[in-house]
Amino acid sequence: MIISLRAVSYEDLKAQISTDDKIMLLSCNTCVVACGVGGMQKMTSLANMLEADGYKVLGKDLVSIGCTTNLIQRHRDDIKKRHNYEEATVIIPLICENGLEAVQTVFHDKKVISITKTAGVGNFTSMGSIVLTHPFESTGMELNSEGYELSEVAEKLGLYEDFFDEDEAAERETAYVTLTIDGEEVTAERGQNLLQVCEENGISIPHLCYHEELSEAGVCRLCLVKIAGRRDLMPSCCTHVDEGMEVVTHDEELNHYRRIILELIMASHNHNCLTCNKGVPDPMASCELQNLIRQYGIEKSRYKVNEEMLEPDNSSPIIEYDPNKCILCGRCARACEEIAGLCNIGFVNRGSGTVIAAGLNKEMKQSDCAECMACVNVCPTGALTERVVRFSGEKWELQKVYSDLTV
Amino acid sequence: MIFTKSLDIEDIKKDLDKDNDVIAIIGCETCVRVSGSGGDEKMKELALKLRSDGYNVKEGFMIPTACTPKIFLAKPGRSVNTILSLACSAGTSNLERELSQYKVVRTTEDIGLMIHDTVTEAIKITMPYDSHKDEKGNEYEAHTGKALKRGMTEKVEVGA
Repeated sequence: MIISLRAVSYEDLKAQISTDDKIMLLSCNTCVVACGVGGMQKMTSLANMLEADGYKVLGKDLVSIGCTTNLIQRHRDDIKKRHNYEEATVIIPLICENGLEAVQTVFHDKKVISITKTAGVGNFTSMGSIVLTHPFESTGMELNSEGYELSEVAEKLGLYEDFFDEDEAAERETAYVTLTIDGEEVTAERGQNLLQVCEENGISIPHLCYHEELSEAGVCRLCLVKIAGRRDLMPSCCTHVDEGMEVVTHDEELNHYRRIILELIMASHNHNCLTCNKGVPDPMASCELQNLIRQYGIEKSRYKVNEEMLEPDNSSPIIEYDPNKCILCGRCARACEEIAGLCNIGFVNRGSGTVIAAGLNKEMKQSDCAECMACVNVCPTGALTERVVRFSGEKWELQKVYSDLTV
Repeated sequence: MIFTKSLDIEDIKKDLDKDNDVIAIIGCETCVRVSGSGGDEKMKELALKLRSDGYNVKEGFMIPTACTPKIFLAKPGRSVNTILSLACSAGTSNLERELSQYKVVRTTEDIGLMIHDTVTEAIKITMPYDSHKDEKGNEYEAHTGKALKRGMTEKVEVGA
């Protein structure tokens, strides 16, 4: 893991841009997220700050691995993002100094403003902290296998331990609406996603296709809610809040429909947790489907289970794909398009024969996969998982190892 | 990503005890594999070479990332007392800290940080450590670590 910290103050950043500039924010989704200087949340925070101070932010773009040059190129050339990149005069990447070189290579005709300093490499420890173990010589710090905490690194190198503080920017002019959720009055930003508003107010709505880093799809139908004045049930992940909205998120009818959907998913394939990498809930791998099945107290499906076993794809050196555990939520396809910028994963076939496949139904290894793990990181079940294998025996034979992070 | 080169097998053997070490190799599937100094084939090559030289290599684990708690996905057998780290320095220090009951022996050396192009399969060194400062700008073939002529990482645009 590459260790980077924020190197510029908000004032210093503003001094490098003007209100005439058109800004694109871009963030790597790996090491800088763990170091607290990157990711979708940080980009949103910085975009809000800049907009509140009168700067024009054209968009935010999350890239699965920022130090992979061709992925940055794919984001620049993406048909949905290209116009923003073409119009932009300034790129602010939330990325390490190494990834910065890839960004500068791709956006050689733009002003690129770096906000980080890369101090060296380190670890994500079992105690949940990030430490710097192998600093660059230029830092003047010694090697330390126990590692330096980021606060110590920041102090020694004159860097900032945290991301920009939103209080440093002017107050945002935000339009708020008042709505009622399950009888409680709630205030939210106009246009905010209803599912997010519910989560922020401690109301959990089951969902499998929605992911906060991806576009809305509304395909799993688990998050359907009742909205007064609307005849149909509405997917809360695709519904934006409005003044006076009256919402019911949980009642007998909605929970009945959710149980049916979960039972149909259970029956769609052989969701066998005994042979699944995400079957053991732990901090780094837990199955969202299994959690919902348990939450709704479902013991078995009332529907006929599809016994057909599809062939897993273990061709990739780092990704395992088991179509039998896929629920067709489409998160992986959206992540491959929106975060990786590749569009390598998509749906193939039709009807009950629909499956997710790489490279228009090639093996993963033969496809255009960049092994960036964007798909694996968002998969809610054990369909796409990281490969863990053991080798032993005279001929060094391979054997699958199931996820179990107990120490 | 972190670019590494394999240490010479004779240097690795200097840290091993043929009579007493029972060895498990733990390999990382991320940077070290892309650098060409790790991955399944390198692990097998290292294991079989050491075995042929009389070392007791029991097993190997390939895990997603060695610089995170995912190292606990590797569960060495009871008899194992030595871990050969097929990871970068970050992964190796993580193994040393978290699996302190084992002797941990490194098999690679960090050169510096790299950017990667999965279309041209080229790697470029951007931020080398001072001891390898001449490597800045050098390019290598991904997954093999073979040296390339400079300019590969800028050469190919998507769709070209």
